[in-house]
Amino acid sequence: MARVQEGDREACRVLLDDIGPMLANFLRRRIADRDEAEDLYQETLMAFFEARHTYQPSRPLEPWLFAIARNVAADHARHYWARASVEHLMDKLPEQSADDEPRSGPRLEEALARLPDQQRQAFSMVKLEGMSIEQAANRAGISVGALRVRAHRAYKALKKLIADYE
Amino acid sequence: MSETLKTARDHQTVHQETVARIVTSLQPVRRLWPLSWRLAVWALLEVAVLLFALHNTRRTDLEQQMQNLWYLLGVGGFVLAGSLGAALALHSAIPGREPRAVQSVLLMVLALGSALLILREPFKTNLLVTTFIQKGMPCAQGIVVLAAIPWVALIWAVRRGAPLSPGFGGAFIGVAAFLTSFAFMRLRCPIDEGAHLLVWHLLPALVGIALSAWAGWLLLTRRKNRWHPSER
Repeated sequence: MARVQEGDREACRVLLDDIGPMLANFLRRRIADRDEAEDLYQETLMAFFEARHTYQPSRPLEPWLFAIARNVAADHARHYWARASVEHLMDKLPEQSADDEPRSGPRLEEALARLPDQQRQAFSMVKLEGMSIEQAANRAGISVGALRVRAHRAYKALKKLIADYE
Repeated sequence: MSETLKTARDHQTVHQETVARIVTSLQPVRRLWPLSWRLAVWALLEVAVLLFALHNTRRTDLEQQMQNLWYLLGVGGFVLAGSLGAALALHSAIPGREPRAVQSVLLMVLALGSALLILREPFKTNLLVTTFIQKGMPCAQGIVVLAAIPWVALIWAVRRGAPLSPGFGGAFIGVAAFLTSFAFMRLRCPIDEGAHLLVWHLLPALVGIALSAWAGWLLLTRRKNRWHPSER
């Protein structure tokens, strides 16, 4: 990364090829729509490029990198929910009747999308990606205890969401 | 299976295109100074503002007040809260080092505790409204003047980084500039009356912090990158 800051193009290509799959997985766990995930992937790489001067080589790369990716995903989630609430209001208009449409149970992705960003991230890393608590805490840049609390809260919230739906 | 292959190929194309664009535009960048250095520069700037405030003080009892524990606690608490605000503002511009909730709570407790000390000052009820306003207006202006340069310096410093939460970044910058300015105005203004301090010192500082959060949202919002998918 230090060489990327010095303008070394080959080092930059190698680094991006190296972190690409990690970032793509990270975003796909958060974004159900593949096309949107690709857009966000591209946006995350650009944000990485624009923020490269803020990285301090003496510190680990992962918390810095995933903070950028988390922020891009959170921006997307904010827009998604703003759009969803407008659509929800539209659905409530009296002339629209959705009673005859059968309700399907929520997919895990939908339930996950309702969780706060930090809880969703903790749950995904530990339960879906199979990371150890220590690895997940390192990636999120928080303590093991804090990660444990987030994952537990996410689990409880998911249980409640699914129970409410049923 | 074919769907999976298609997705994988699409992702590979997006990756290669984006990497090619980044690599083509790659230039050496000047790394940000470490946080401690940048905070030290901000502290030096505030020392200069303090010297200016002391040079123009209207107080004649400053030496005497320096032996008053409650006065020192009030001034020191705001200086400390301002410095913490500056540190958090600079942290907010570094991905992965954003302020934690506990640090923000600590800042609020410190600022609130210092503000509560104002209530220890006497409240005069027999002041004419016109006198109250006449004596107060220069103080409100002073709060803004003493906060101006540190605010501009901090917003520039935070913009140099990569602020991820513009509103919070702006609020922290406001806290840093205006709470320190509040502390310095207490060294400059000879009026130690509760209502005067609340209306003409604290209120302008709070308005300044709110405006700073708004300005932060405007000035620190990440620019949409030049190769946003919608522009392809």
